[in-house]
Amino acid sequence: MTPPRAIPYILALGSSLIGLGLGVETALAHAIVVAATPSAHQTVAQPELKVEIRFNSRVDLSRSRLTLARPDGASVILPLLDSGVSETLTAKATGLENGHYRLLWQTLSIDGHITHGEIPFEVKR
Amino acid sequence: MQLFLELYGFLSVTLRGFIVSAQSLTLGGLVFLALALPAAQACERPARRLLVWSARGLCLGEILAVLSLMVMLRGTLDLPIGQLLGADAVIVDLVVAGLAGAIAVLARGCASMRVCALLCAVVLAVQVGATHAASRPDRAATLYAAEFAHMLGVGAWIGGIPYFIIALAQLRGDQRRLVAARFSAISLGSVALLIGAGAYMAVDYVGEPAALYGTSYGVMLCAKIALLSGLLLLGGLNFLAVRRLRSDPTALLARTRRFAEVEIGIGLTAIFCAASLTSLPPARDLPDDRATLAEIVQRVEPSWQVRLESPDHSSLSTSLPGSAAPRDPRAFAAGEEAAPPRNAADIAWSEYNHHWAGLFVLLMGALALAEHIPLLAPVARHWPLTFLGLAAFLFLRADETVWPLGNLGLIESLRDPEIAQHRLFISLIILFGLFEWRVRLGRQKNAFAPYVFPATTAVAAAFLLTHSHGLANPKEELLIEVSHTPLALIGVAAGWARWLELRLDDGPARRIASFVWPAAFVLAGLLLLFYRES
Repeated sequence: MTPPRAIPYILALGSSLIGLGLGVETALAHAIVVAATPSAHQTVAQPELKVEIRFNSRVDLSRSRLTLARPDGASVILPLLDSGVSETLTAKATGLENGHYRLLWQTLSIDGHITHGEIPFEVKR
Repeated sequence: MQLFLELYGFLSVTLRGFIVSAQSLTLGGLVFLALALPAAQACERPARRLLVWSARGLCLGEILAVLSLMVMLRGTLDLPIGQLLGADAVIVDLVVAGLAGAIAVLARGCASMRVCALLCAVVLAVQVGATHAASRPDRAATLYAAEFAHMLGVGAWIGGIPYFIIALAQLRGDQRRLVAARFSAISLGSVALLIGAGAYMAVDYVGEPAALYGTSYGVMLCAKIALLSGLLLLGGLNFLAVRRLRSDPTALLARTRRFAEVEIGIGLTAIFCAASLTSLPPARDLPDDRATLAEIVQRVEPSWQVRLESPDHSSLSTSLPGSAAPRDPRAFAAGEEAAPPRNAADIAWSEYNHHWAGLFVLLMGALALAEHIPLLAPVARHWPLTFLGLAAFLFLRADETVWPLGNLGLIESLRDPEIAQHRLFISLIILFGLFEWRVRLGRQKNAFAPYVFPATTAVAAAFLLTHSHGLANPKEELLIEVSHTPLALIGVAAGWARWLELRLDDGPARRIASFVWPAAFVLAGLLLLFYRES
């Protein structure tokens, strides 16, 4: 069989295009929670709470978010206490009443990967 | 917007793989033209053309990556454009896009390759900002250096091979021997660089031996090492052939070119494997979510408990109301949602699917082997028709919530990107099977027709290699991956062995290749039959 002369181009281009079929369902993410205050399913007693979520990698705080979902279904964005780059999202939650809460977080790691998650906790006084 | 959010993971990884490949081809071309090719050669023009298209591809990939990241951040955080443009990852992509565009323009003209190579070095330095090193809280400087060296080694070696093939095809005599000798030297240095830097990063990111087999990151790294071993074998054979080019130029040249073609394919598969690695948390960050050696052995140990009877559809968790989500995942990837816990029937359903698929693949491999026996060849050559049986089986079983087994309508189900993907692949399997069948019968006369089967097999295997990786349940992901990764590697071997069978002149290497790929299919079938999820 006569080898087509365009084979190097086809191999180079075609192999690059492997990417079009690759990575489907592959998660582009790697900032994961290392430690959190409050921890998942922790019960706290005070009306104010310093929230700290530490990740395994540095995250862009200006493009990350922490949201508190209240027992009544309302949500409030918690202003982050720091800006710039850090491994930790820090914020202050106030006016906590009895009930089940969820901390919803989303981060952009410095290398451009987005992850999100949630930490449920309870307030009981 | 919701659809975009769901597709974002797919888009991002696709673009990242494309970007790293285009970057390697750009760098490889520049290094080759600057250091390996003597001035003013006939092959410089086609080589420059490939270089220009690679740089343009890199520029386009980066622009698309910027746009998708900005849309994603805008859609989830509703940030103003100015703030989006300030993100480190956006800046990295924009700078690389600009530099790649400049390289494309300069390389198209008569600019010095060394100037372009310098620009490309800056591209690599900036691109490190999109790797794990950029976000590590510790040892960032040494990791930066290692990532840079690793990408340089990969680009100069793998990315240079297409240019080497062009030169081999167009140069003659001493010029050809000179280029071959220079590229061999470049390859040797590049391999040393990439292995040295890769080993450093592996030690840092993996941390301890238990993480190498107990995490997805570790398993993917092992797959990458296996691909690299295959590359080194082919590269070593080519290195020896290049040294003997003077004594037997014709035969060795042909073999060198064919092996180099396979090196490109496996090399870029390894690049995509690496792109996938950057999307996983480093193994050392998952001390509590690892599988033990005993758990892995229990899962992959060969067992003849083949499940040929399906559980009842009504017993699947998707048919039962109110399944709760798993508790406390440490993170979700963008677009990933909590999956409900799986019950015993779900596991049995999946095992049944794998085992029947294994029977189809086993039959395919056995028939392809039987084609070597003249007496059986007239019947055995119809083996591609087994693809149709496999496609019909997957149509029925792959998505249990969809018609005809589930309640979701066929058209309605296509709104789910994952189901749409499955349906697309099933359609491709049918087309692919019919196409290869016509090739076997000699009814497909196009010169490229026989290459569709090996290329598709290799691409599908590469797809399997970077499949999955959610973050919500890393241990279970790993246990599934540990059985799928060998399948993917076997697929890569099968695809490229068939490629060699088609491309090599008659001889021992071609005969070996003609047995390797059917045997690989048989092995893949057996692995599917042994597959367990419990």
